[in-house]
Amino acid sequence: MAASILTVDRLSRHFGTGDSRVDAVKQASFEIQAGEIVALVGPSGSGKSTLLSIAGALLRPSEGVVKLGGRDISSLKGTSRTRMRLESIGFIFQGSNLVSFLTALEQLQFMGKMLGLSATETDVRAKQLLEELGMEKRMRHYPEQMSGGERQRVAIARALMNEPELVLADEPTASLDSQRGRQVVELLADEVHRREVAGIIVTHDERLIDVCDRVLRISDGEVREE
Amino acid sequence: MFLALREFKHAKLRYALVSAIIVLVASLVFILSALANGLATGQSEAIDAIDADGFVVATGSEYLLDRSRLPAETLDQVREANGVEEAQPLLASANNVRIGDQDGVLGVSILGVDPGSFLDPGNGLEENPDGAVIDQSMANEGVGVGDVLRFEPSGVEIEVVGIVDGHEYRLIPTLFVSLDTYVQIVPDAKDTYSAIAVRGDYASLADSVEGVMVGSRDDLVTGLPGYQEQAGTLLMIQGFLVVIAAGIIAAFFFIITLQKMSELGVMKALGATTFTLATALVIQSVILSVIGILVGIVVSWLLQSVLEGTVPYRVQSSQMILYGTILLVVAVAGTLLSLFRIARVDPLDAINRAN
Repeated sequence: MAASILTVDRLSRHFGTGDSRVDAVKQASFEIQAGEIVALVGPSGSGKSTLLSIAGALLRPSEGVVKLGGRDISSLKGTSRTRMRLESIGFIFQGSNLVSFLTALEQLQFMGKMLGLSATETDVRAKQLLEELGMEKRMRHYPEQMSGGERQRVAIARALMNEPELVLADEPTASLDSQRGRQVVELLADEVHRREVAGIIVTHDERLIDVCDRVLRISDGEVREE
Repeated sequence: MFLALREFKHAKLRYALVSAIIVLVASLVFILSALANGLATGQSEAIDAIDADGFVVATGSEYLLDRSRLPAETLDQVREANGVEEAQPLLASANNVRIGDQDGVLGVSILGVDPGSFLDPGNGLEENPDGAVIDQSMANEGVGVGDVLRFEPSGVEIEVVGIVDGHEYRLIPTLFVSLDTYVQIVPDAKDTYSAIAVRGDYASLADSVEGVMVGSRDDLVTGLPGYQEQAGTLLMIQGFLVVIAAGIIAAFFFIITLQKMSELGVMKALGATTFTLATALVIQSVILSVIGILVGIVVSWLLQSVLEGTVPYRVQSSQMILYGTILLVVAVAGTLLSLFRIARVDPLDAINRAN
């Protein structure tokens, strides 16, 4: 198997101090390889969002190290953290988190702009991704004109626009029926396999687990491999 | 620019309404400034038009020409004083005039000047020193060249020989006559002058000539009855309007920003910096404000031809530029509140919002 892209080593995160201290994640350690998609499963309040936020360079751990492509992202601050997210991480959020005033194509073009890609490069990448995800006919549509499944396909395309090393999906199927939800996760898994990136899907839908390569269960902040 | 324009395109109505509000506020500011300007100009343009360095008036007159009476010999003393290049006497008062055979009388400002001197507004007084040259403000009352003006109560009759523009005084119809004619109309004014306009060094005349005070053109203008009070009131109204404009624009952008909080969080999570998002907002506010201000300028400018001759209204481009710039600065400053809000958006909300 290929090299490890995401390495999480004895990672802990707590909120508050003293009596009100909450240990959201306790001593979590795991690795994710290139081309591997992992389901992170657990009940609400188990710490899976905290773990996802730390892996996504949105939140810093209290202890432990997170390495993405060999670089320590747990100690990054401010703009270098923003830069890391922009260049190396793809996000797919719960429900529709597309920018309401941008069309499908523009969602991707916006990423290209922020990445500093040329207009041609941006358009080539964006159109190819939208085609791969079967959205070529809906490029000029706004989020409000799309179905939930179509929005999530655009969100997947947007997450891949920066050719990330790691793709994080936070409950991507929450607003979809089971059939469409499964399609979306299968599309995401295909892209992860084909592009040799590492993927984490946070979900509580056990029926989607078989689409993923491995399952990490989290409960009361403790991560356990299945 | 990418975000700013896409958002305009998607929410045309919303932003058109914001721009419309700015148009209304800007028009109000511009129209008011043109009205204030029209009032100020109508009061003083006859004085403003005089190409002199300073004026000599009687002590205690506080620059009010009606109250100022200089004896005839003061003119000789001023002309002989060191540093004075040229000095011309001026007579001014308010009077009543009956036009032709009309019933009513018209309150007018009457100014007496030496025909051909630098105080002569031109257009006929030099050729016909026994006639009167009327200002456009009087022509607007239906008076024309050839009409006979009968002054009350002296009964003196003078023919109108010419019309000049831009010489109104004290916001009433204004006319110019020669010094001799003036004395016929106002016999009390014989051997006196209201003021002496001086070219050259006028400041030292206060010491070298008995019974006079000296002042600049501005002193004479601000000495007009009610001038400062009126100017102050109008300036306050305009000031408040600009402050209110700032508040309105700030509130609009703040509400729009609040509505986008979760979207902003997502964009930050995706890697957008506060700078990128703030720039988009500032660009939007600049574009909307510039459109609003330009339309406001056009509206206030078009109004000039509509109001011509009815209300004192004068659009002045330097004032437009000043108020336009102030409004623009104020509009952009109004987005500051929203910028703070954008800076405080936590990208983590993109994930936590749902949980």
